[in-house]
Amino acid sequence: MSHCIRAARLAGLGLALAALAAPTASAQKKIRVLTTTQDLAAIAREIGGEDVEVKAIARGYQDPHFVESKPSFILEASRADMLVFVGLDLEIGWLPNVITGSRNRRIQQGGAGYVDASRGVRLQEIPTGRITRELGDIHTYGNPHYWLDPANGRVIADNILAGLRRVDPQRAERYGARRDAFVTRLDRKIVEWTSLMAPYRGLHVVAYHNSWPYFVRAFGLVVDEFLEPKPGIPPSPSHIAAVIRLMRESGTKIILMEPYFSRKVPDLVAAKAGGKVVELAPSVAGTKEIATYFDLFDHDLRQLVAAARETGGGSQGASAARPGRGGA
Amino acid sequence: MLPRTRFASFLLAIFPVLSLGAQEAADSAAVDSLEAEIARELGADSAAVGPPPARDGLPPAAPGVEGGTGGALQGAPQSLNPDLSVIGDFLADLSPEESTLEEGDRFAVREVELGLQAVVDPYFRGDFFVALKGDEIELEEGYLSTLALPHGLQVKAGRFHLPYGKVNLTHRPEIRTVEYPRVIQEFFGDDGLASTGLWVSKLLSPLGFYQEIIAVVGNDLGEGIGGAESGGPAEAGGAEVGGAQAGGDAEQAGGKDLLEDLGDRLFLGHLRNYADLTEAANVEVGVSAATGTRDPVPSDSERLTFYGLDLTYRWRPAAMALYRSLVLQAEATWRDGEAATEFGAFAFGQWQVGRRWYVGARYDYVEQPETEGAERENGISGYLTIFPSEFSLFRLGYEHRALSAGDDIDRVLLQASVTLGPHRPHPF
Repeated sequence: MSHCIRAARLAGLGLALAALAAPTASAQKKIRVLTTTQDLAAIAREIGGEDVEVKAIARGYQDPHFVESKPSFILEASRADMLVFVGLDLEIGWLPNVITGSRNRRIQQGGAGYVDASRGVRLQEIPTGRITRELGDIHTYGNPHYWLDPANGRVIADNILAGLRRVDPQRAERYGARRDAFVTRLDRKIVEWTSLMAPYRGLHVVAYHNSWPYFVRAFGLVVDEFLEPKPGIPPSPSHIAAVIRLMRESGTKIILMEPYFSRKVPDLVAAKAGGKVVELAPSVAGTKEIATYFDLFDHDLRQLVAAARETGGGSQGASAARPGRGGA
Repeated sequence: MLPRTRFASFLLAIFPVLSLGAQEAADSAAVDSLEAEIARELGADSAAVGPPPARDGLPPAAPGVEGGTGGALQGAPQSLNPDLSVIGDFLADLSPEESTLEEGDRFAVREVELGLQAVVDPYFRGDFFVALKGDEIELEEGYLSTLALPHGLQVKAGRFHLPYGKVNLTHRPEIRTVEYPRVIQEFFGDDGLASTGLWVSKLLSPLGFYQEIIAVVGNDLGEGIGGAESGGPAEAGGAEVGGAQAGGDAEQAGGKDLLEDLGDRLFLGHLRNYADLTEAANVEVGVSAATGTRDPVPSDSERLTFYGLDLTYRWRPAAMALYRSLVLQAEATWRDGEAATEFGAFAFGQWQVGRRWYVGARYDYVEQPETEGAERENGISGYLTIFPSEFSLFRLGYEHRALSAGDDIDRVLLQASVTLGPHRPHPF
């Protein structure tokens, strides 16, 4: 009798395993592109057009370092033909769970749909010397916020184009044509943005987190200091006091911050140092009106110019020669 | 009276450690208090005429250099090595009456967990976690996972925490409380339920949301399990893999054919159902069933069957994800043995009050008819957790347990946990 029960148990297990092996149906006309951030999604839409269906994991107003690896993202990843990510360990806290959980060969490293958008980007702030966590939550390969230099939009576009050509070679020409159109428009916009910011080259700012090295380099700003004493370490009173002293002494008026940080400290510093907090969108969809990669810079530069005018910034003469922690 | 005074002094003495969180100016509601601190830092009247900005006094930056290009493979001579990480988990028992740690110690290195993780080849990844607990070295987990089987399938082979409920899957140093819920401790052991075997899972979403069905066949429920002693050698991580041990088992198992022996083993099934309710809120409901023996050799060891239900609600708004989150979790387990059926459950809630601060509370209920005086146990516990950074935490826990015989247990535990090495993906 017990033999029969055991045999029945094993048969049950066999049936369960057979059920597990049932195939899942999928027949997609559009290429399914999953990106980790909205910026990459926006550029993927430019290149892929109507041939792709693009979804992004992180929201534009969310810190991309701290996204949860929700099972719903794993489900999206399991269906994706292509995964585009920022790389440089920006998504290290959550993306590995999503990729491994997806069981999707196409988006595993080495798969045709595995697209590291940082490939070919000229990196900034690659740590030198002995690297320890004493330096805060640093990125060992270099600062990962490279999409905030619009010139890097070209590199990202090329990486996405290469990925789409791999996963969907039949439509390679269409993707190539869209990439060319995107880059042509981007080049034109870069001239426009550079011209807009020309009067403010050398403008000194304070930033909350070190998200902006590519942005300030692109537009000639200078970051004097960060509100975070070290990357990922919240501001301490002594550090805040030091930043206030610095701003009072140097005349720096503008504090850049991302929308996902609390405004309490920036507002307090601004009040004490006579400055102004400028909330810039670090990503597409950071605010409702930012729908495209072009909108991102239109929005942020508009905010910056308005703040510079309000605080009497602009061509800063001798102050432009002051050293900073990053930028021009 | 004197001991209580001393105890209070001790708590006061350790409080500066906890006050690390006071630096968390960004999320503190007490802006006034922050202003006062900043004013002190700036000096009462020297704000306008104070010393020049002391850039030298600011922490050194690590601006690094420009150069190189992206693509994570470049310039990484170590990249073929596995990710090596270490978790150190320390405990202090500050209970007012007597310590509940082993040998009455007040301080313990509860566990040092060494993690080695890497992709093996295009088909598998390997994850190995070796735990050092006092004089014992134990393979907590060590398994291969397939990376890209078709049809949403994934297979794991090796030793792993069993997918029974939700909390049991997370290693103890990474859970949200000092110790596992009481039902896990009593039914499965202090370290949770783990076994060695084969794990097959499949992703599916016929209803539009995430579902995962998992089936496991393994050796046994392990030595941490409650219930009748088998008298035979028990599975205990690394001890199990010893050649002499395996030889002994084979000898005792003599006479069993493959079918008979497999029939005596551990079988587990788990169904996960996860859905996003809104962008910020999601819910997960799971059902589990497991059956096995403490040790299948000899075969008269008592078979225990467990049925479980788990429910988790999470809320974390994307725009405020650094500062606010809520987790509500409950699990119920029925243990069905030859003599009796026992029930255990817990409910847990955690609220993130700031960027680095969390408060939590748990209710525990567990039945142990075979334990005289503790046939039923009710417990409540509260937790205050501070993360100075992503790589370290301090947790103060208070636990009150009321046993059916009328004896109460009060415990105060302080946990410190640090992670060395590369950033481990956060468990969800």
